[in-house]
Amino acid sequence: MRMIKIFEGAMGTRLQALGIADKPCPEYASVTHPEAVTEIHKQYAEAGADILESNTFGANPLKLSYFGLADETEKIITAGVKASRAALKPGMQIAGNIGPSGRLIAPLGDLGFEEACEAYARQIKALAAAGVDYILFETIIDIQEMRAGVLAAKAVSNLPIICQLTYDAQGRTVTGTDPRTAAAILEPMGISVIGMNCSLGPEQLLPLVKELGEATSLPISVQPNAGIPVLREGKTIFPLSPAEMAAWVPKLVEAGATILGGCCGTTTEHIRAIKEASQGLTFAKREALPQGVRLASRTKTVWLGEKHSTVLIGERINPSGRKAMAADIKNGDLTVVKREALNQVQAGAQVLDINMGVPGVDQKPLMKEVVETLSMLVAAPFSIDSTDPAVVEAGLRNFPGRALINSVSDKPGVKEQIFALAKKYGAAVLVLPLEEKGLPKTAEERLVIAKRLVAEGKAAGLSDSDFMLDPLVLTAASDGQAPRETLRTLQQYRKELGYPTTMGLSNVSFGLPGREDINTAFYLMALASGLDAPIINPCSEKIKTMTAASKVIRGTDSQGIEYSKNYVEKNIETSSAPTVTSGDVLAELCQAVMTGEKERAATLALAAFEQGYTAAEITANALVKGMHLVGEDFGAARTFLPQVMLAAEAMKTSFDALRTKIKAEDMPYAGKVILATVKGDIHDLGKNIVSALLSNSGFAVVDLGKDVDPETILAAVQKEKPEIVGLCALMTTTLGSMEETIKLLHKEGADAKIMVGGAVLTAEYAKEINADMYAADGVQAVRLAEKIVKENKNK
Amino acid sequence: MQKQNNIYRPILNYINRQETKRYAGLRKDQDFPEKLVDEACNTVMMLKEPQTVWAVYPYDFCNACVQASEEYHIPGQSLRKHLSGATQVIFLSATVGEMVEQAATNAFARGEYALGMLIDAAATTAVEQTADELERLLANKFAKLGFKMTFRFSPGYGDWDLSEQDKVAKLANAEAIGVTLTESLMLMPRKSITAVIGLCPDIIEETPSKGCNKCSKLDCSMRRDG
Repeated sequence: MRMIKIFEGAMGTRLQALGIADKPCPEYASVTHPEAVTEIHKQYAEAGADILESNTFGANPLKLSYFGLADETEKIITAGVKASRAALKPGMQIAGNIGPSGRLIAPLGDLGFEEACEAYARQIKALAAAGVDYILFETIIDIQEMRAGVLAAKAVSNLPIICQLTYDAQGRTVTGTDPRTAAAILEPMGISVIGMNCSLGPEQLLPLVKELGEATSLPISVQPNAGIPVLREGKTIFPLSPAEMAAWVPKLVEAGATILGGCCGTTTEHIRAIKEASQGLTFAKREALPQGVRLASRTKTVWLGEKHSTVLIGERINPSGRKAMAADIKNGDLTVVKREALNQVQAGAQVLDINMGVPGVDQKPLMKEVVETLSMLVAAPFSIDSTDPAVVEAGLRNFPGRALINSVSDKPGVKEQIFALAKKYGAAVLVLPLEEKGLPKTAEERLVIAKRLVAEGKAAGLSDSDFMLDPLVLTAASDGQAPRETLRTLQQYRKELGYPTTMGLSNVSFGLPGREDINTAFYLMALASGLDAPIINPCSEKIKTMTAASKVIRGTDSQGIEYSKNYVEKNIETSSAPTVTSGDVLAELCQAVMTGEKERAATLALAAFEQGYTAAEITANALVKGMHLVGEDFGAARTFLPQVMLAAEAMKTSFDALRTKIKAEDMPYAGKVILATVKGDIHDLGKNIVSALLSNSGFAVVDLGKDVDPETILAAVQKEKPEIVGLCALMTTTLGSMEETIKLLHKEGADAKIMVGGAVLTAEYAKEINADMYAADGVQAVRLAEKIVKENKNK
Repeated sequence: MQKQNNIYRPILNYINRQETKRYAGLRKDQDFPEKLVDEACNTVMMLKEPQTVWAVYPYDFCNACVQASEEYHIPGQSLRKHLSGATQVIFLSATVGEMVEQAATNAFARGEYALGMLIDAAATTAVEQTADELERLLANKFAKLGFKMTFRFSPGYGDWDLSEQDKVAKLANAEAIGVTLTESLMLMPRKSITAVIGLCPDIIEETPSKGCNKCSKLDCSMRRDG
């Protein structure tokens, strides 16, 4: 029976009350007023605290540097621990308290990961030298900062580590980690206690403690604030009384808490009440964690194994055999890598394999950069794919999560390093049954090697929840029995070892035609033989469909609910295409323009031309007609601007198609328009919309761009002699520049009509600055332009 | 005390599709190719460079004065009212960089007008999401001290004139994330914002809630339904 332990309560607010918290920082009070610090500890000890927390929360060289005290880090820490020790009663312990560095780690902020590790290492060294019993990280808001702290602690001491993150009311840290994911990442790193403190009161923390309890076998520490504070007359007031706070103790313990304490707003009396409420309570019994392996990104946990749904590991971030990708990566361009990451995740990959095997490139910095970049982009955990331990470490160190190492084989000198890295960074490891003396042919041989590697991994400190197995996929074309042996290996693994399995499929079909079919067949048979997580191209339609279908068969998609959803969505997509088959090609073309079907419009325009209609007829009776109808719908708010733009695109493809058949001078010509966003204004979306609509209504548009000064516009008007000048301004600050342009055009006697538009313009203002017309939107701009041209003709 | 440079580059794992459609002017239940919306969101996902910067100043709400090294007296009624009761104010700037805008322009140049519009809308959504993430960080910092945060108020809202943009950008230290002003006081890159948030010790009056129904611009195309 293990008894609940109690931490001491708030220190900072107590020092504040004594007026010694800002000279210049609370931690420095240990140097200037050690007896006052000790007195606070004594009061907590007397109230029943089992573990004191040294007054070293902000005694980090990074934070102390704001006060010019970085050089005194060790002195402040030594004094802090000494002040705690002076209050120590028999049986009590001291936790060396460490808070956030105050800066965010790159790429979120400007603090380098290594810089953070160094600063923490210095703080931890001093705490260890001063004789604390635990290293306690608390109030941390980013998992990467916590990882830096844990790695530093492991590097410089053997003390047990307590990790407390701060969550918000939605149950996530500021940078998005939930309690389950925190457990998935931190527990395998070898910490001793996991928990939470600050920001919320016991009521709000209770569900989070429960969540954490379901995701970890470690002891859980919980230090709530005394409720959600309010600020009155310049003072922060925490509402919960000691009795109110203590009332939550049995519930917190039942949810899994094993060490309790208090954060902001808690006093000696709160700790006394919590201690009393915890008397006689013991560790609650927790459900064992599910079997399998979990991987995690900063924001998401993914379970793999027999008891879990099939997980697709995306294989496409791999430059081997992909020359263009390799060349881009070599040139430092990660666009393709980013796109592959996004596409695979959207196609259903839950884990991404990252291989940076580009010849002639130093893979270590590259792996670091790719891991950092992609972890800002997608929420999927990574599989770090390399045989070089240094490259593996570059990936693991910088990944704010728990990765899979792909892979370890029976290669002396390397396997030891890989196991050590898995242990250090809390990564899972994929066991590949290969040895130096040659390829093991049979399932039995492979099982022997896998068992040996697992045993060695365990000897290096790994546990059952850290291993995945690869059955080895060989090419069917070179050895007819190879695929069957792979399947047999999967079955043996399941029977003998039970760890989740993964494998790259596509090797099997190498050298054969119709590879996708072979791959798919192999995939399904492998699933039936015990494959849990294929390394695969998730964007393949066959793989997608087969994965969904196999989930129905295996019962992980109960009654095919998910499967059916896909089917329904697909049906809608195909049935939504309008089917006008009037036989009247112009009517059909008009319809295609209205619905924005680009390819169909182009085909129909050509068909109309083949049937003998002239370009003018096609334009007037189909294209412009369709556009006008869309414009009417727009005016009546039956349709919206993006649809109008789609119609314009369909017009464009139709014109483009006609242009291949008709001489330029025979193309319909409505008139000429010069467009510009005025000087000082850098918005061009609105002007671009107007330009698109005009040029696809038969106008020749001269687009001068954005931020165009009056003289340039005048020069263009004099040269091009357009019927209309369209000016655009989006901001109140650039209306003056529009007015100036109009004045100049009038002064120089330009006879083009001036049309103005833009978000802040009104008809009234347009009149005031002597514009001829005001267009509220792009559709109206086309109407007005057509009207002007018509009036000119009638003159 | 040494001055801190408060830069935060939040993680955006997705672009809100509903907001993107709203900014593009699409209404609910509109028959529109979802693939285009996806493509626009993906383009912005690829090219966005979310960055934020912020600074806190004491605020004297009786005199509507931000107590920075160079005092800033808040002109007009809207922002004064918004910040009534605040004792500190946070000036902030957020951006998603200039590559997203180039992508929208390029799409127009290729004749993919609807996509261009949607990329622009997705980029606007991304800036808002970026600022929302910063607000989560700020909430963690200030809520635990008992402060209530007002919603983000930007130059151009109410009668807080856009001409104040330079002062706001300076107070936010926007240059630290590469956000600068043109001569006509526009933010560069264009997909950037500046704003102020009030930190109120005790809400005497309910601060106006965020949302379209509180806004005076009734004919705005961005107005949320209902």
